[in-house]
Amino acid sequence: MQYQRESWSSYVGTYESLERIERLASENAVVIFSVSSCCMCHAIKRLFCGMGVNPTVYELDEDPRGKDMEMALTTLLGGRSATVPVVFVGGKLVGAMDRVMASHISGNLVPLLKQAGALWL
Amino acid sequence: MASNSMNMQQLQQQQQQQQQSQDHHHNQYQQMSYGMMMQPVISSSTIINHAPNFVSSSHSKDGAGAYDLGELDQALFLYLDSQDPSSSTVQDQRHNSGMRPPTLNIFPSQPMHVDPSASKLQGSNMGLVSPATSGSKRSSEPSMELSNTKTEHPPPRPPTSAVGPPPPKAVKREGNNGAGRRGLTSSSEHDGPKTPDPKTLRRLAQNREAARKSRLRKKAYVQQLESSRMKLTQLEQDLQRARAQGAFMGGGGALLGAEQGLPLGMGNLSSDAVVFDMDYGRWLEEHHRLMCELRAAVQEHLPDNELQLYVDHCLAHFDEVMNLKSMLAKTDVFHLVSGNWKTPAERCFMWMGGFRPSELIKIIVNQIEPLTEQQLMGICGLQQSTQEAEEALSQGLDALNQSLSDVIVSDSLSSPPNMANYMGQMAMAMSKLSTLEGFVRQADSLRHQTIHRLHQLLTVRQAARCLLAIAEYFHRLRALSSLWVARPRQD
Repeated sequence: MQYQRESWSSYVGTYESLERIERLASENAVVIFSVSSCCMCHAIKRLFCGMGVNPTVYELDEDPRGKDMEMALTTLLGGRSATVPVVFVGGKLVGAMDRVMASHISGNLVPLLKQAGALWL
Repeated sequence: MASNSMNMQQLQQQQQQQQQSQDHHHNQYQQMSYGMMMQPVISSSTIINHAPNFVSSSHSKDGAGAYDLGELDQALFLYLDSQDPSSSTVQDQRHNSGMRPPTLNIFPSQPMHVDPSASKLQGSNMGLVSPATSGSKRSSEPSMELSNTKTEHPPPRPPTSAVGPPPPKAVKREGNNGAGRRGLTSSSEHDGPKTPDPKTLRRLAQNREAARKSRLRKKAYVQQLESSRMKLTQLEQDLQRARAQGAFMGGGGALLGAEQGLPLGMGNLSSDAVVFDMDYGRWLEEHHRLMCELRAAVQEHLPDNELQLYVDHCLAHFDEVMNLKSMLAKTDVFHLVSGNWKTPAERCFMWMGGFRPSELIKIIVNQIEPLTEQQLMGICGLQQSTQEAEEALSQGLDALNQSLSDVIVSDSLSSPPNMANYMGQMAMAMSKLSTLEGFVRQADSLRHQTIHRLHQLLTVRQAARCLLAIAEYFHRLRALSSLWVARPRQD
C-alpha cells in the first residue's frame, strides 16, 4: 500500500506513532500489535499462548490512533502489504508472522523469550 | 527434428558461403563448360563436397541429421558417372563448393528409372536427374529441407514415387565417384568404373541408416506435437466452458480446507492450475532422477565434500517446487489447497496445501540414526516448534473459516437475499477469502524452513539419507495411489 503524505501533521503523526510503538513495546516482554478481525493475528496469538507465553496485545482497530500506528509499523517493516501482526520481544522488533515462525523453527525464538523473561523453563 | 534440420541448414549455409568465396572462379569455369548440365554438376559437386559435412555434422549430433543421404548418394554417383570427363575435375575440387547449387536439381520430377547404363543416362537430362531422390516420400522431406536452404536456386520439389533398391552397377559407380566422401577420394579415384569401393559402400550404408533413424525420430516428434496440440485445444475448450459457467454464483467451489467436490472433467482448472500441474509433473521427473543420483552417490561412499554437492543440488531442487507453489498461490490458491495436483493417498495427509512438517520429522527420525545427543535435542526442538507452528496456523485458518461463514450468513439466510446487503457481504467475504493465500504461504514457508533446518542439524551423510527416506516415503504413497486407482472392483 502506498500512502502519499503531503501534510506535515501526518509526518508528525507517524513520528509520534513510532515513538508510541517503541514505548509500548518496551513495557512488556512480549508485545503484539494486532487487528481484532485479522485471522493471522489470531494465529500468532495462539502460537505464543501455545508456548506458554502471555503476550500483551494491542488491537489497533480499537485504538483511536490505530491508523497512524499501522502506518508507522508499515514503515518499520519496510513497506509490507499486510502490516499486522507485528511482534516485539524484549523491546526489540522480531517482525511479522513469517519472521516469527522462521525464528521459532530455527530455534532462536525460545532463547529470546527466555532472555526477555517471558518464558520460564 | 525441426531444430536438427535447421542446424544442418545453417551449417550447410555457412560452409557453402565460405567455400563460395574461396573458389568462386572454379565454379564459374564449371558453369561455362557445362551448358545445361551446369547446375546439376555444380549441385552434385556441392553435394559431394557437402555430404561429408552433413555426415560429420549429423554424426556429431548423434546421427540426427534430417538430410537423407541414402538415396541421394546413389543418384549422385549415377549422375556423376555419366559425366565422366568432368568427374575428375569435380573430384579435384572437393573442397570447394562454390556456388550454392541448386543441388536438388538432380532430384527428379519424375519417378526414377534405375538405369545402370551410363550412356543412356548421359543422354537425357531427366534420366540424369531422376536417380537422385528415388522418389520416396521419405526422402522428399529432407530434400525439401535441403531445398529450403538453397535460397538462390530453389527448384520446386515434387514428391516422387518410390523406387526399388539400386542396381549393383549404380553402386559400383558410386564407388567409382566417391569423390566427396571423406577419406575415400584417393582410393576411389583410381578404381575402375565397375569396382565397388568397400569403404564407400560402408559409408553409404551408414548414411542410409542415419537417415532412416532421423526420419523415424522426426515422425515420432511430429506425432508428439500433434497430440499435444489436440490436448491444448481440449484444455482451451474446458477453460472456456468453465469461464462461461461463471464461478460467482455457481456451487461446488472449494471451501477452505475441504476437498474439491467437482471432478476435473468439468473444467474447473484455471490456466494457471494447468500450467502448475505440468510444471509439477516435470519437477517430479527431475526429482526422481536426482534421487537416483543421490542414492548412487551414497552407495558409492563418496567423500563428504562430493556428497555435499548432491545434497545441495537436491535442496535447491526442493526450493524450485516451493517457488512454483508460491507463484500459484498468488493466482489460484484453491488449486493448491484442493490438492488435485497430488495423488489421492498423498492428499489424505495434506495440510494447508502440502505435507505436514511435524509428520515428516516423525517419519525420518528413525532413518537417520545414529544421532548425537546434540542432534537429538535439536531434532526434538524442531519437532516441537513445527507442531506449535502448525497448531497456530490451523487455529488461524479455523478462525478464518468461522469468520467467513459469519459474513455469508450475515443476519439471515433468507432467499432471495436482500440485495442491498448481499453485495456488501460478498465483497467482505472476498477480502476474507483472499487472506487464505497468506496462510498457505506461511504453511509453505514452514515446510521450507523445516527442511533447511534439518539439513543444518544433520551431517552430510545423514542429510543424504534423510532426503532419500523422504523421497521414498512419498514415492510409496504415490505407488499406493496407483494401486488404489487400479484396484479390481466387485460389482
